[in-house]
Amino acid sequence: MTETKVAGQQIPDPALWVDEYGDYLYRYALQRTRSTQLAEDMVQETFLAALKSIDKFSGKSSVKTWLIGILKHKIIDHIRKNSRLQNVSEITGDDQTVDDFFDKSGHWKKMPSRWNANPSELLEQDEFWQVFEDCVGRLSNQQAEAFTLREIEDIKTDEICKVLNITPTNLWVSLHRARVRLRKCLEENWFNG
Amino acid sequence: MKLMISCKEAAEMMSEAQDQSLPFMRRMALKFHLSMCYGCRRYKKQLQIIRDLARGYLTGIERTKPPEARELPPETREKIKSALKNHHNH
Repeated sequence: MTETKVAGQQIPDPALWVDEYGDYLYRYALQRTRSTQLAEDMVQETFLAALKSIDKFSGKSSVKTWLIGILKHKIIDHIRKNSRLQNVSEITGDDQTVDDFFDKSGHWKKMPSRWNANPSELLEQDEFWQVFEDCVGRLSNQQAEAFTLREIEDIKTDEICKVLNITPTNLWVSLHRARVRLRKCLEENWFNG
Repeated sequence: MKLMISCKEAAEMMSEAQDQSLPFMRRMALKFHLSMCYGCRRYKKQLQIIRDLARGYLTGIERTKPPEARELPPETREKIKSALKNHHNH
């Protein structure tokens, strides 16, 4: 096996990267794009991009982290391109969705109930993830994207605005709606079930 | 800036506070409301739970998909390997 020494780290022959990291990158891409074809394309692009920029690999992070970083950027670029096709009606200031949860004086129509929730336990439960995914799936496209980028990918709000091509106010409205609706959906389908 | 806010306004502020610090007066108004409203106190806790869950989401998915759905298909694997080899040789 020929090894390349880059930034003081021994990294295996690029062809072996695919064996070593291919499945991991694929799972990550599949979860974010929900398309096997897209996920495969992105994994391939990621490996090629990594090969091209191998001299830029500083060695500060592990190879795995570095590759995931490249993949994340590919995914974000993909989202950005698709966001340009967003329905303009998505980006209105009306608060109708959130209004459904509050009465005229601004009180909760239905008070949030008590949750018996242990996040670290829930993380282990398949059934919970199914419910979580379904609930996120019920959000509007922009709300789901805003929520995912902010909460799952942990991307800063100003960068999300660039990716989705929306103003900070629009982002804030989308995040708020996403959170109110997601909370309700989880309450009805898991915590109160 | 009024000190008495509604639950609807409080929910807006709590969402905002998830991403940036609230200015002093708004923070005070929210604290005051929370001291009196158990529903909104629960909402605040639940927002954090959702955040914790979302952060663990990708790891959760790692564990729950069946093996077949988690692997790069063999043909794709080979295709990528040769693409890399071709690039490497140029």
